[in-house]
Amino acid sequence: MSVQMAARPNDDPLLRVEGLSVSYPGGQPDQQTIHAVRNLSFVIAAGETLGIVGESGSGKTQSALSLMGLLPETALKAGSAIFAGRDLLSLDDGKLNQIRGSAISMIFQDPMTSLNPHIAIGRQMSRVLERHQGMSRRTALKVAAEMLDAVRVPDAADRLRQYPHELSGGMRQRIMIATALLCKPQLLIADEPTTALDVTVQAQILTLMHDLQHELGTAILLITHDMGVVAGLCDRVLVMRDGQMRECGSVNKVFYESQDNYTRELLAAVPRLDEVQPRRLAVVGDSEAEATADIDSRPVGDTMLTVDKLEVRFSAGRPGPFRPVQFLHAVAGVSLELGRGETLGIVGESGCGKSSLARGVLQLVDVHAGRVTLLGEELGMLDKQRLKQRRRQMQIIFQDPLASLDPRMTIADIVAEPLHTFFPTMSRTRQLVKVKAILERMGLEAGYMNRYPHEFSGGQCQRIGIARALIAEPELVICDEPVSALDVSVQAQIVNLLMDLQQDMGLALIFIAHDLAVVRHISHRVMVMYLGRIAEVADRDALYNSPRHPYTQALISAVPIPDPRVERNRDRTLLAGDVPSPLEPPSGCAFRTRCPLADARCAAETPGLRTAGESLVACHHA
Amino acid sequence: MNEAVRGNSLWADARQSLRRNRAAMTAMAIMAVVCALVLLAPLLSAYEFDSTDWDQISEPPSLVTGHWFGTDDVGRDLFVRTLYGGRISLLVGLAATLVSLVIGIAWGATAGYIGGRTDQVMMRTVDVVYAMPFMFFVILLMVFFGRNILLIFVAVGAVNWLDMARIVRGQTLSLKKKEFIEAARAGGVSNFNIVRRHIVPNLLGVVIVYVTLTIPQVILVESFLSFLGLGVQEPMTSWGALVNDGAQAMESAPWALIFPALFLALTLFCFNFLGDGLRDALDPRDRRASG
Amino acid sequence: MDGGAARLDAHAHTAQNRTMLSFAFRRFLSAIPTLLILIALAFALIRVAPGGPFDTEKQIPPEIEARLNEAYHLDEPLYQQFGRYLTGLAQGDFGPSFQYKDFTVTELIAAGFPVSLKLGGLAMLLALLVGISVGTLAALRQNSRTDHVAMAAAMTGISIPNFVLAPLLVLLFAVTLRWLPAGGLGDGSLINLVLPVISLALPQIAYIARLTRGSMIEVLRSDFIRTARAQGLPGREIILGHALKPAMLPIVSYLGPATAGIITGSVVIEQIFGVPGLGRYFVQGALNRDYTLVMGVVVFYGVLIIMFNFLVDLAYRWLDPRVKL
Repeated sequence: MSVQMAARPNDDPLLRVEGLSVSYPGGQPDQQTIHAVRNLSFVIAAGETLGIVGESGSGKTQSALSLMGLLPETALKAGSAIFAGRDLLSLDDGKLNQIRGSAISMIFQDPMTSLNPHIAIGRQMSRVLERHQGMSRRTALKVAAEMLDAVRVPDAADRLRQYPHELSGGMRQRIMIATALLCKPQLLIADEPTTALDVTVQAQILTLMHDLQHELGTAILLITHDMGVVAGLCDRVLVMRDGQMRECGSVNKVFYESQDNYTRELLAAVPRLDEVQPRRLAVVGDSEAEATADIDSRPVGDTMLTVDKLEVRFSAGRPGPFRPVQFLHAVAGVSLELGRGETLGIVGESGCGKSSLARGVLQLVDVHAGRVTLLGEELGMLDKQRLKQRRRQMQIIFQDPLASLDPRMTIADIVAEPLHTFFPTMSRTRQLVKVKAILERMGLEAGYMNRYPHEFSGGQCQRIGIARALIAEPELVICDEPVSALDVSVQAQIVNLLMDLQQDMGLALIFIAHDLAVVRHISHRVMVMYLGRIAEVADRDALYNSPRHPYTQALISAVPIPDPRVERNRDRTLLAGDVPSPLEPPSGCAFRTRCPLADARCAAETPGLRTAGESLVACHHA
Repeated sequence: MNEAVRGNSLWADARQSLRRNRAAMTAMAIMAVVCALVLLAPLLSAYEFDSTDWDQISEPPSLVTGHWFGTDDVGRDLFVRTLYGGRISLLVGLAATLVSLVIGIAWGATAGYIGGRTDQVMMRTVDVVYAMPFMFFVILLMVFFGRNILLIFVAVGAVNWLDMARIVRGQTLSLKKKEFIEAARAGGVSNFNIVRRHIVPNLLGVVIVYVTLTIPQVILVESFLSFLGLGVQEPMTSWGALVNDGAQAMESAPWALIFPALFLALTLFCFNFLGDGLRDALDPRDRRASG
Repeated sequence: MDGGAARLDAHAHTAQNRTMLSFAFRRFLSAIPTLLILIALAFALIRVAPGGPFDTEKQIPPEIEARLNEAYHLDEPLYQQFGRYLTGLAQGDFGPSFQYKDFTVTELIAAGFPVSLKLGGLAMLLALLVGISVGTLAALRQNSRTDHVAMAAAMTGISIPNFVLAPLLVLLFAVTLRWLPAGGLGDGSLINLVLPVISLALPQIAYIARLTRGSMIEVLRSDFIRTARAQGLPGREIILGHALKPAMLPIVSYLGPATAGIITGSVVIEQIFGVPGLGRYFVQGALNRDYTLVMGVVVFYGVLIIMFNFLVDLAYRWLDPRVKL
């Protein structure tokens, strides 16, 4: 049974949270109590959207979970959360179960793991209706199909029989939303609902949530780290840090007239897609960020890296006696050039082959076809010894800072490993002197040298990874999503560091990311990839100001901008559907299945790169 | 580097959390006592393991006669026999585990690191051998080639390596995909050094846990064979053989069953508990959660 | 519209059935080499074994030995013997027993197997029922007293081999308390099987309980269980409707090794309790050097285990929609 709202005066909020605290007492005597949330108070009115923003560890998710009674048993809760006259924090599971899924629903970050992989979608949905509305399974399935229609899932009736792994990420999140809305809740709690999705899919989901809210009048509590998402979707914002509220107010007030230092610094630390900040990114807690030369004033030297029609492919699945080997063409013929001291940004959604391109250039995966020439030498032709020597000149920085460091080695050993390899005769003392110097250059204390990776934060681990990449003084560094796993404030520090290092050492950088704003901030030139091919390459400002390829246009228009006035008045080109599987790319132009301009020619003919305006574009229509 | 702070390695963390695990620590203490008893057996009793005393047939345990665990049906002292039996059981356990360890690591690491077709062929072989009713083959071997301790080592070790190979391969495969291995490759580190410096140290935790859990399995197999009369030969004995003898005479002399059974079960119990404790201590996931 | 959807569904279903069938077929084909290797291995072992089957008898005149060898085809080249053996196997003929002169191995297996099947089947059933319930209970009350007691008991169960446990149980329930018979099948009533079945099942119960607890805890920690809780489903429905199926996957994969364990265990258990099953024939055959019988049992159990593993694979595939075909 769904809970009927008791009659209440109109000025009463839908949910009133007062003095909410969540803490975890340490299990062992030497462990301290962790205060995840401290004394948090806020209200949500019927039909409004409140955003809670904060970096990791700010307590935003813990607050939401506590409202739903989903905290682990070891958590201690205090305070009150009055919803429909009842205190959610003090209800037992039985009473809470009448509200959860019915009057209040929740959706989570990762739609793959949040749906049960073992149960058909229809069954997962119908259970909710059978439980809360006492429907028969038959009726419930019918209602579920209608709801899938409402969240624009095509062929809804068929979907009910499918399992989550058969669907794309965006489709799964739609199903999560549909399930959450089945009982027409008054409040929907959305915990980072688009963080695991590609940016074009994120735009679809955000638009969907916005539209549904208008249709159904559901209040939304949106938890996110992304200021752009807040700017587009929320009426009011609550900023959290270290478990406490820093500020709460209307979107405009918080974005334009913030009274709180941290909020202002956080906003300043986010790179903007729609403008070039001619300075270092502001760093949280460091208001005296000195002005550095903008990227444009940095000189670009002569060509040092040439990639010619590079192809990388992987065999997919196990070949068996009855199954032919299937190949996944991760990179299907990409050419590029890079000059000394230049930064080439590469952007694209998942499966576009940007990481495989990086590994192909570095000869870390087998190159199926094409040539990579570094400093005049073709890498594919080198023997093992020569290639090993060349590796000193090209290094890589990884996405997951902790995973890129061997957990059983000390920081000193990790950072010294390239010295070990490339200068085997160097004495241990010399090595340590160099390690110490580079750690200090990275802003780490040399005293950390004998510690192990798990004792450091993500940002610190990334600095260690950068130190390892730079200690043998390479000339080319490929950064594979180096800041995607980091919080905004840490991201700003790492981006600043990379830009400084580039200037000091004259490095050529390939900067791979899915975040278009960061790429704009750091790159001279930007390359957009789609399903293993180049869609468009151009100088940074040309690409962002007058994108030629319909995919580039859609990509740029999909990125939320952390500025409410701009964000709310944008015209969005929404792409349909998700990125197709790279295992079965569409014929002709790979983008045609989602392209608004596609015609018969696009299906028949693969477009080559040609000049259009200031860009090189692979599109028949650009 | 005087000013450098010494970090807590994963090993140190694991040692600490193992020390906090009371069950594992108790198990370790008991195992130490059992090992000491078994090693010092000749010094602890006036009796020989194979000397018969026709005046003391099937005597119950007694402090007076010095037959603390009683005697068997030919008047041999069961205390000494139990400890000597322990020597065989533990020896077989350790030696056969070593055999399976060497084969398993070599096989699994090779398959996992090389990958591709080699991996397929190697693991398919493991699958096939795995599907064999191996205990029956061991019995066949025993029957055909006589009871020979060495044969037991080889037979048991040669079968237990399968699990080891599977586990090591799985771990190697997942390690190979880790970014720190890729970083080492990008840094020009040779294959040999990658295995030596990065793969092996990271495999060690799993291997240690698995060794701790393999030893009791092997002891169990040896006891099983001895129980069927296919293990060690008289007058030498092992726990399994003693349990078998005891079971025959249990109505008249239950002590002949109870003491060896107790020692056998206690030893297996301790190994299993220690293995569990080590697994908890070395499991990196728990550390992530608390860190 | 509705009709169209239904047709689409039917279509999807037959497609699914077809992939399942082709998977079953492929998996079945891959079992054949394993079977052949098993038989060849057993065959080779027996042929290279020192001493022929008649060596244990007193001196036999050479012409009689030759006659015997001829009768049992021992004078033919090895590959012919192997071919003969394979052909026989295909027809369900394991050849004559060397020891029980009046019986064929097939007859002996036919006599012993039903007893062993009853014993093993009951033990397996008991192990699954008790093991899964105890494991689930312990997982739901993680770190409670119930959990600790159950897991300590399970650890004890794993650590006491069944050939140690069986005599101890007999000592307690048959010799001392006289509640249950100590051995034999008696009049064939089930009460005679109580002790053998329990001795056979206990280590498996313990193992399955630990396995279930571990996998259940793992599943209960997963995101989709949190989703189910957020949907307001009550605990019972979450366990039965969402958690049980994935939590059972490791148990299903363990069924193969469990069967092998129970078969192996039945060898000693039948010995201890004097149950006239296949395991007992095997041990007798091994001690008497009854080559054909021993080989027959090994091959028979080998085939059984391989077939069972095949069924387990199918079940796993059916339970986990994500497994690639």
